[in-house]
Formats: sequence, structure tokens, C-alpha cells
Amino acid sequence: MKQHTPFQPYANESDVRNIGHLCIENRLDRITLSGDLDLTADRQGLADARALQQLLNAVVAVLEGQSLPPRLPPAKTTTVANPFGDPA
Amino acid sequence: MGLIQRSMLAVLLAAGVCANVAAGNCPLHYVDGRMPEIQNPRMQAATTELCYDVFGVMHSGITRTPLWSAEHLTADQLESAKTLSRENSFHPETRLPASARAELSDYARSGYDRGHMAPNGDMPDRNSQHQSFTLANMVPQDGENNRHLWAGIEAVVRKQAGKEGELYVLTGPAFLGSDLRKVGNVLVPTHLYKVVYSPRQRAGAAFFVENRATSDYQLLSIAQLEARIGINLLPSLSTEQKETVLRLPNVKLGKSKGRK
Repeated sequence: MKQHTPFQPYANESDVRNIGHLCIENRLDRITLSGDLDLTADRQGLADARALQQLLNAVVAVLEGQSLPPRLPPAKTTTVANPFGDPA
Repeated sequence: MGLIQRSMLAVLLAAGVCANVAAGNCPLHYVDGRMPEIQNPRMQAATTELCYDVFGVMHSGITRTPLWSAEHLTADQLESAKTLSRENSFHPETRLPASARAELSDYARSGYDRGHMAPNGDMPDRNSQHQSFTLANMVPQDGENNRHLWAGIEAVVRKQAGKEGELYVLTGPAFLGSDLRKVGNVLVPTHLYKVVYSPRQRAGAAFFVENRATSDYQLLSIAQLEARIGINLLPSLSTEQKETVLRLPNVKLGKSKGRK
């Protein structure tokens, strides 16, 4: 339960941060932003806006430093027989 | 808390007071203290019960997912959950042997979300919040589904628990059909369910959804869901009680994952 460790985009599959109700998940192949966020015209709004800006700057910096494919390759999934059997 | 409950149970068993082993190690999370009963012997294999502060998991070493996550939600707990900041980390369950547990690498580049069964948004304190991020509480879930339909279902359940004062909730995956998809060593559920039971109304109902990008859900009786998934989820209830469907508000889509 580490707190206030820097969020390094694409560095791991574990980090989760929240800005307001916006949830940010670190993955190796993506950063997932879900939820919503009001950037209100008050001090909280400014703090949230800065946090979001910091995050996006870090994301852009990592991506700009890589040679990127046009799109990610499709995810690898395999198909197996249902180990629980098929009651249907 | 898990350890305390376990040792209390051990004392009771040793004293011959409590012969009902089906109570499991974390009875506080279950309706009438009764753990669900798996009826399919193939599903029973390689299961481990894991107790956490405010939820209990039955983990399968075959699917490397929970089969259910059980919570006793109270209005007070949810009030505390509202004000928590949410800086967290997904982590493998080190109480499970490496041969039975999911690893972060199983989910990496899989295209699936790590979908909470007992939701983060229900957790009343930092410790239980951290516990909810164990991979023993996760299934590979379609991202659209997780962030919209499922988040909406979780929100409805929290709202209902607030209204009722308390609710028992069981959340889990269903693995139906002849073939299943697999990411790393983790099986991808075909469906997800969430059972709610109101002690006040002595009635329950179950949300049942496909694990894909959809806004469709079914509201089933407990009896109907049990027949589909092969688990006696609420063994203390009569057949009649299981057929009575609790009235629940409609699910609104697209509310935030941040509240998840």
C-alpha cells in the first residue's frame, strides 16, 4: 500500500490513481481512464487539472520516446474446453 | 479478522459446539453465516476460502478467479466508503500457492479489465480497499461492460443497501458453454452475476450479464441463478424465499468507474 509513489505510465500492471471520480489504471500496453471528472473553477479544480496535466505529460513523454506501431496487435487469448463441463 | 474467525471456529469445533463445517471461515459475510455450497464436483476441486476484513472469497485454482465474493454491506460502511481517496495497486494473492493464483502478467496485454467482484467502491477503509485489489477478487472482464453496465449495477446495489440499511451481496463469474477463453493461466468468464439479499424484506434477486460490451442485463430470482451456475448460493433460504424476487431500481448506465 505505497502512497505518493510517482505514477510511471506503462511501467507496471498494478498502479491505480484517482483524480476526482476519474480512475487511472496503469497497464503495460495502455493507460485506462474511466469515470468522470468536473474541473471546477475553484482550488480543487485547479489541483485536479494539474494532476491530470502531469499525468498526460508523463504519458506523452513515454510514448514519444518509443517507436510505436500504428495500432496494438490483437490480444492473445486461447480457447480451452470448459473444465467444469457444460451443464446446458 | 479472518484469522480470529478461524480460530474461534476451531475452538467451537474442538468443543463440539458447532458441527456445521459449511459455515466456512468467514461466516460474517454470509446470510445466516452459511457459506454457499458448490454442487458441481469439478468446480469444487482446488478451491480455497479466503477471508478479508469486509468480504470473503471462494477462490478456484482451476479458473484462477473467485467463484464468488461475499459481502455484508451496511449503510454505515458505505458512508465511510464515500470519502476515501483511491490510490491503490492490483496485486497477486500471496496466500495462494503460485500454482493456483493469477499473476499480474496473466492479465497483461490481454485486452481485459481486472474486474472487481467485491467492488472497491464498497470498501470502508484503506486496509479493506487495498484487500479488494487482490487478484483473488478479480476476473477478466470486458472493459466496456466493467466501466458502464457493471459500474451501474454496483451503484444500484450501494443505493439499495443505503435505503435498506443492510444487504448481503454475492458477486461472481459464471463459466458456461463447452469452450472458454483463457488469458495467460486465467479463464475468462462467459457471464457475471451479482446477488443481493435483503434481510429486512427476506427476499433477494440476481443481476446476470454476459461478459461482453453490452447494456443488457437480466434480473433473475435466486433460484433461477442457482440453477444456471450450479451453486447453492443461499443455503439457509427456503425454495419459496428463493423464488421471491426483490424489487430493485433500474440500472443507469455509464456512471463513473471512479465510484466503483
